Amino acid sequence: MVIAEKIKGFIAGNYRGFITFLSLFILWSGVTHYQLLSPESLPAPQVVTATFKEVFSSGLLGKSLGMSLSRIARGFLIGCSLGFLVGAAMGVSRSAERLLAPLINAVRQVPIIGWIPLIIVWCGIADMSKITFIAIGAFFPMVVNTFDGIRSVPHGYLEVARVFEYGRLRLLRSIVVPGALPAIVSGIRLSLGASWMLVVWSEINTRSDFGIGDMLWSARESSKMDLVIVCIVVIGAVAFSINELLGQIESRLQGWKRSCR
Amino acid sequence: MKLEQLKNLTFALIIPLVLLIAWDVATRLELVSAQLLPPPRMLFESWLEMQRNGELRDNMEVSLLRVVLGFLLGAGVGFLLGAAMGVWREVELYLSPLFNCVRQVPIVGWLPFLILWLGIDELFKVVFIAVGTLIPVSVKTLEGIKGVPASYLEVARVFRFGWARTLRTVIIPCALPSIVTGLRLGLSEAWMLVVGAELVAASAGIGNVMTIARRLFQTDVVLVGVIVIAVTGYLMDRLLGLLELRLLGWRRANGAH
Amino acid sequence: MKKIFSALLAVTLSLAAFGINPVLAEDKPKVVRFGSPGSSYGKPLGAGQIGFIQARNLFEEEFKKDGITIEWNFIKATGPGVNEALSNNSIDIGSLGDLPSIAGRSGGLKTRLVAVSGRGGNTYVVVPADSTINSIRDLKGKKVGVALGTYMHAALLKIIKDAGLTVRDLNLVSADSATLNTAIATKDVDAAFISSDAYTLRSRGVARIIYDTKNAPVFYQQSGALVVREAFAKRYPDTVKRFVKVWVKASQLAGQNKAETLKLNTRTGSPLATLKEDAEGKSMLFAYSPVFDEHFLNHYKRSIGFYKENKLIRKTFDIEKEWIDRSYLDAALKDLKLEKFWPQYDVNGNPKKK
Repeated sequence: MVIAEKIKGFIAGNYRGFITFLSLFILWSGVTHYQLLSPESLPAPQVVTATFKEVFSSGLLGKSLGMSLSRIARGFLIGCSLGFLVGAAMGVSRSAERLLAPLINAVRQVPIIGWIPLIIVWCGIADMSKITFIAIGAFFPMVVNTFDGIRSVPHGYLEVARVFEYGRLRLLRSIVVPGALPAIVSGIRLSLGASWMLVVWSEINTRSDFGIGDMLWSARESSKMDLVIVCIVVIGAVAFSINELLGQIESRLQGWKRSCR
Repeated sequence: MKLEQLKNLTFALIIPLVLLIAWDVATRLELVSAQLLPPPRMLFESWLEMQRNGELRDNMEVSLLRVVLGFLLGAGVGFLLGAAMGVWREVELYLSPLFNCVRQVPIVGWLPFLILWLGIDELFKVVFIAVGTLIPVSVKTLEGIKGVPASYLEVARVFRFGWARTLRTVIIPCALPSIVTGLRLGLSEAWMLVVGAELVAASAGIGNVMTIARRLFQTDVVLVGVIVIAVTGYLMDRLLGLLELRLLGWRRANGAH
Repeated sequence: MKKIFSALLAVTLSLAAFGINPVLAEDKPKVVRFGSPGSSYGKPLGAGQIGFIQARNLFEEEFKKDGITIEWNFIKATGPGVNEALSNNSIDIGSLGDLPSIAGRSGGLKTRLVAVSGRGGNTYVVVPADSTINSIRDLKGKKVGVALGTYMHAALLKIIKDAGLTVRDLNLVSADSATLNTAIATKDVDAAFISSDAYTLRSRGVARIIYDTKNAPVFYQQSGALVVREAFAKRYPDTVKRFVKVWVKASQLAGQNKAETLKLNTRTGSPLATLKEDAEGKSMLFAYSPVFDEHFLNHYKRSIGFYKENKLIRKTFDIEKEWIDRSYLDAALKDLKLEKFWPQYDVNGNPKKK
């Protein structure tokens, strides 16, 4: 009973969105059916679904996705942890900040894409360049957010800690880290989101060893627009899931923080 | 204060100087091959050469033009879209699920179709940049408008403010910080995308210069390109920051940050 | 004090022991990593010797007893990509065109030229089927596409110079072959300088060929190089020598069996008809001779000057003194008794009368 209510509620609340999707779908089918655009420019929905099934069952999709995800995992871990360490060091120590901040701010200005030609020359076109690229992309949001988070811990709290004569470690553990956590988690979310986009870009520029970006670009070069659409949808779906997952984690943590007040 | 600033400056320069020296030494001792890491001197010479024969200026002009056009187009459409969704609930209900979905796809995904429909020339790049700019601008605009406290709107209703007046005196000022953030994000995105698009296919522009240099194995030119891109991006961001200060200075003065 | 001293001694001795080893014994690599330009499908862009080496397992024949395998890398970024791969040690031996090999060496890439890899590579100028462009001169002010850094780029510069044009007279667009093929079909570019794909486009009815290098001066055709990373050659000279032997053998097979060579070349994905037309009038002996004859030396020397003039490279170098290492080739020819097999071609690509 309750489930039916919930579903009804969901539909009632979101039916307009469904209408938009439906009309778009109808438009798409109509255009391809009446051949208003050539089948090369815009493949029909059925063709796309068929291609999706084919690429899914043949394992090619799984393999490419797996490669991309493994690259992200490695690059993200490296970039994120380094970013966290550096950001934390800068946040906690003023001299570290004075030493590192200008350099990091300067290097941060380079739009991530600009690094690609350089990284390719230095690291080749195999996995290492892609991972390096992703790590750089994950590094900067993490540094900025960790630093911001630590600095944003209200001074009042630090005063209290001093009054109570908390040792350094206890200070970190019970005040600084929890206080900075929302910003840190937000940083992780940004990093991961960036990683996903960067893995695709790097695969497009260094077409080797499979990966979803490589698949996308190969499909484009052989004019298989149906496969292109499949790739785009998959990329979007994964990005969405990553975002959702982290969003859930983030709100859980925020929830705790809110209840604290 | 002056001494403090001087100390800060010195601190700031320590690491870059150390790196620069290490770099120079490494290339002199041939620890790294010259095409992987060109000596700083070579970089400087290439930069001078590119300045002298106008190569740098011509290509930067082209890239900047694309950015400006794409940004204006994207920001304009993004603002209208975000505003429409923010002001009229109906519009938001219809469009936001679709919008959120499209948003998930990283801009790269648009490349194949844009190239297919619009070719590899200017139009495709401007549209590509516009799409990339559109997303953060509309998201932030929507956020900004929705963030107007209901109480303000109530007050406006009590005082019987007309539509235009409410918009002008309540909604826009409240939403402005968010909108400006959106514009800043959009601009940095636009700059990144112009380079990205040029890496894929271009006949001129700074990204193209770097691609050609990469193909002809001239790492020093690639490095010069990276630095130029960084500096330009930084300057553009500062410019917008100054603009933000002027528009929102009143807010800061109020202490409402 | 004594303890420290003996520890130091032990460390020094062991370092010395490890240090001596590689110098005394020449170890063999486990894998020879070979790279050459590839298409987007990961297939080789050119075949020739590669086709025969793969088809007849010539590499395995030579190296199986040592347990050395070969790793084939068909690099999608073509010639420039091979340079990059050599530069960061992803491959040990590469086959690439004249422009990329020279650009790499000039840019400081430490390679050794050990054999010739393929000559007579043709470049074709195509325009959309209904275009009004009929000659190179008509290209003035038009949008022309070419893959920069490849031999087609080099050919473009030579071809337009002949017609009195410079790069500034054209609106040059850089894109890879696949993009260019589509761009011609969609009329995105007014013209493109591509490889024998031109015939495929023509047979589809989307393009016309307005120029090709088949009857042009031989300088306009590409001559490729087989290069080895200097570090690799220093460490494994014997392996390089044997690889060159395999290469020479394959060259001989390719030179003698035109029909089979063309058939093997279809591995690149090009249809046989296209390859046949491209190879019309081409001497297989000339195309696949690995020997450093007058033609090759002149071609490369001239190219270096030409590229410098066109600002494609910044430093010139002396190919005979700094780049070519004939020892491997000479040894291989002697081993296989093929010293007199290939005619010596002169600067115009004609065999010299003995």
